Amino acid sequence: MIEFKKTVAVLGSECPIEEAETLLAWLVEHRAGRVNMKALQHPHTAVMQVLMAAQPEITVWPANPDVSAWVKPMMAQN
Amino acid sequence: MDPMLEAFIAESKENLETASTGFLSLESDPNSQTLMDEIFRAMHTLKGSSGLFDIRPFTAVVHAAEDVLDCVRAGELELTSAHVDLFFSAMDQISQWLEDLDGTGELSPGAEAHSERLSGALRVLIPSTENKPVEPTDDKPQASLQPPSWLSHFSGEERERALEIAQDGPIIAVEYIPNADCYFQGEDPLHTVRTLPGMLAFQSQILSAWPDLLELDPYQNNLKFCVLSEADIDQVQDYLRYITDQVTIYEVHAAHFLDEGEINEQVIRQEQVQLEQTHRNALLAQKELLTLAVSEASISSATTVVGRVLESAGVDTSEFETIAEKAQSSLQPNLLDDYLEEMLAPMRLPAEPEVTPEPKPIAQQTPIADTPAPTSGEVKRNEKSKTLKVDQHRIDTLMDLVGELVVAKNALPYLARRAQEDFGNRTLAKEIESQYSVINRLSESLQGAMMQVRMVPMTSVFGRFPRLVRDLSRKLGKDIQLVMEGEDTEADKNVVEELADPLIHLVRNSLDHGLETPDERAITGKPMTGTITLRAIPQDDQVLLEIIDDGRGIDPNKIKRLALQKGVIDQARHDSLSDHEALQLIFAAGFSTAEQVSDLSGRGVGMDVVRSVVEHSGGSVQVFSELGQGSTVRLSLPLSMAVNRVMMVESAGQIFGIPMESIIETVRLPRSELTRVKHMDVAVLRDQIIPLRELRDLMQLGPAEPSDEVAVLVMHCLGQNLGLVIDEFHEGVDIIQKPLEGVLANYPYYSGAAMLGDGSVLLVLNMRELLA
Repeated sequence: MIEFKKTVAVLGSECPIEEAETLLAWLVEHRAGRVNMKALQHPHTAVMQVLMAAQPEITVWPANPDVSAWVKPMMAQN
Repeated sequence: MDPMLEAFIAESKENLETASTGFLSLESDPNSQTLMDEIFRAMHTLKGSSGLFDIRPFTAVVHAAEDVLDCVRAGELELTSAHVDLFFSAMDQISQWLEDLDGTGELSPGAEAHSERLSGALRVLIPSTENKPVEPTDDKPQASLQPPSWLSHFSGEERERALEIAQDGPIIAVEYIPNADCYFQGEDPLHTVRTLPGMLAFQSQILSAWPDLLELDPYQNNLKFCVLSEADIDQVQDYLRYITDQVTIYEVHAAHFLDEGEINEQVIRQEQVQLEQTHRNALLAQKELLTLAVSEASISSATTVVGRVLESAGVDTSEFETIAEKAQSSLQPNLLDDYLEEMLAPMRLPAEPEVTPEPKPIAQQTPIADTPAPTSGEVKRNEKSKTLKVDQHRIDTLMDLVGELVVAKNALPYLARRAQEDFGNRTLAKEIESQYSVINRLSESLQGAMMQVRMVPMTSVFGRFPRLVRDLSRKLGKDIQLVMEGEDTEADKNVVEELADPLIHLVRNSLDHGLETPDERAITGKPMTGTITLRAIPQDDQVLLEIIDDGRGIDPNKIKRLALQKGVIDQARHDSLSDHEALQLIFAAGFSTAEQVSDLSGRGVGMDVVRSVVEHSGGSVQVFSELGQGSTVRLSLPLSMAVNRVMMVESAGQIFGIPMESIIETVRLPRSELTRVKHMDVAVLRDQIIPLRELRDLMQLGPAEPSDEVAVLVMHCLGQNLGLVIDEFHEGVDIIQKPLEGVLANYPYYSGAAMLGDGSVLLVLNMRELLA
């Protein structure tokens, strides 16, 4: 589950497809919203798409180095 | 039923609708790629999701349709009207099957034969000689031999590792472009890629530039994946067998990384760039020197250096030499300066070692006129993500509960009265009343909100007309254009649903009888193409629906004559009828003006059925026409049927409800003012003669006690004003009217019943039946 704080969205380990919409809505509302990916393990492609399109500031990259290794280049795609 | 099947049926109906509107719009805009894509997507989704169920005949037909559409999309086949007809008949069959699935959970017995016939007919359209097999999904994706160009996009580290592994034999590279709608088929491309057997590295690429967040549809794939894998090709092929159409598999040899591969080239390019950088710096330094240089010697030394730098950079120095000579001889260093400026300019580009970025689509720069207007389908898709689909039964249950709340609330005033009258507690009565007003307000808003939920746009009814008009106009050999206005007008779901059949009938009538053939139109000097307009207009708590054609119109005299012949009216009525009244006769039972009976309409049933359906929904219907100019049929319907406002009246000690919409006014008249004309009492109200009827007589409740004054309810019914004499008026109430059941259902004088706040039952009178 994504935990939405005041200015930071804290992603869970799994980000199932349904969360793409919630996350998008939050990012639309909070254009300067930041994202914490610490726990992230298995985001759904749709969620990644939202992140890639929105390009929010990432406060914490995934703690799992294997995940970080591909999330970073994906986020750099633009 | 299986909830998955249920969802499939609902979704498929929507997709069919999309495809059908797409085909229709395609006829006016045959080259639209957007429309084509939309139709293809709809068909593709149909095929994809049908595969989840054991309905092979279904899948075979949609698959064939998808393949044909694919050819059209690729420009291998041009769609003709005949093709579209074939698609329509296939889609009709599909929607029939959906109905079967909805009812019985399986396809009808003859499905196999239908399927073979339809998919055969569709596949014949595919131009290539090799007609694709029906189930290519069983095939594994084949490996392609040329190495993909994107190998170079992987980082050096990743490529080194791949190279190492590739020394022992080829490795696999997969290019995976997921379908735009793949998420709806439960695919997660990222997951697929990450769990690909032997995955070494993967990369994503954006297919088109991201739109603004507000426009972003997160459920539309915009990514492409490039994956390297060290697994066996068989394993990879097996893993990807469900998405064959979306992947390309390459076998990559070590040589691809080494010889023609990009590593060396990359190194060379980096060296080159570095060299360029050095040259550039050297030239810049010389240029700076030149600006300070005044002596011949300094110019000469600078030219020597620049000459060497240029030589090592591989630039043709002949031009430079002439300029240098000139500069030296004339002592004009600025000549050299200008030359260097020119030389440096192209190098000023950022010397990044990365290849040029992928060209991004320039959608925003396309002139507006060229971009197709967003079709309704697209708009719908965007809306869909914000819409909650709820089973209608749940809404109905909620509606019933709201209704009961309204009724329960009505008990409070009775309670307040009892508190005061039976227990003499005035304060408590006041308090109950104030609480009642709060609850009343809340329940009214609740009711209003509930009504909103039940509102649906007219689109759901209008949507079927383009197809209907197209089919009929072809059948009748008429050239007809359909214009629809106000499709967004909303009305209660029940009203909209009830309306569908009468509307179809009216449109058919206009097409069949109203509009002329092109030849006839040409003679009368009208444009060859006839126009039929469907218009919905919200008006207060009603919605007006107009069906307008510019056809031959209706001749009131002919109607009158026919009505007389058929005994619908008598001679006296015939003579007194106005033209407008005469036109309304077409709604009388057993009336048909068609000189030639066709299979479309004009069998003498129809218009009267239309009227009775519309009136049953609490609406009315009128026709206007000008001979030679066309006619307009206007339906006016209540926006909502759920709550009725009725006036309570008393007669012989019984309370009845009378629908508020038919009441014009309530008056008390001294009995002395009543006059008797022939066998009927009449009253004169504001110079208008109002015939009076006694409710006691109509309901056979026995004679009234004589009184000096009569209470008259003036109402509009059956096209005229008349007064209903009752014993006493009571207040108006909002009720949820329920149809009568059992023995009472046989009495047409009652249109229904409702529960009142004190628990008693209110019978609502059907004035039309009562006064007829």
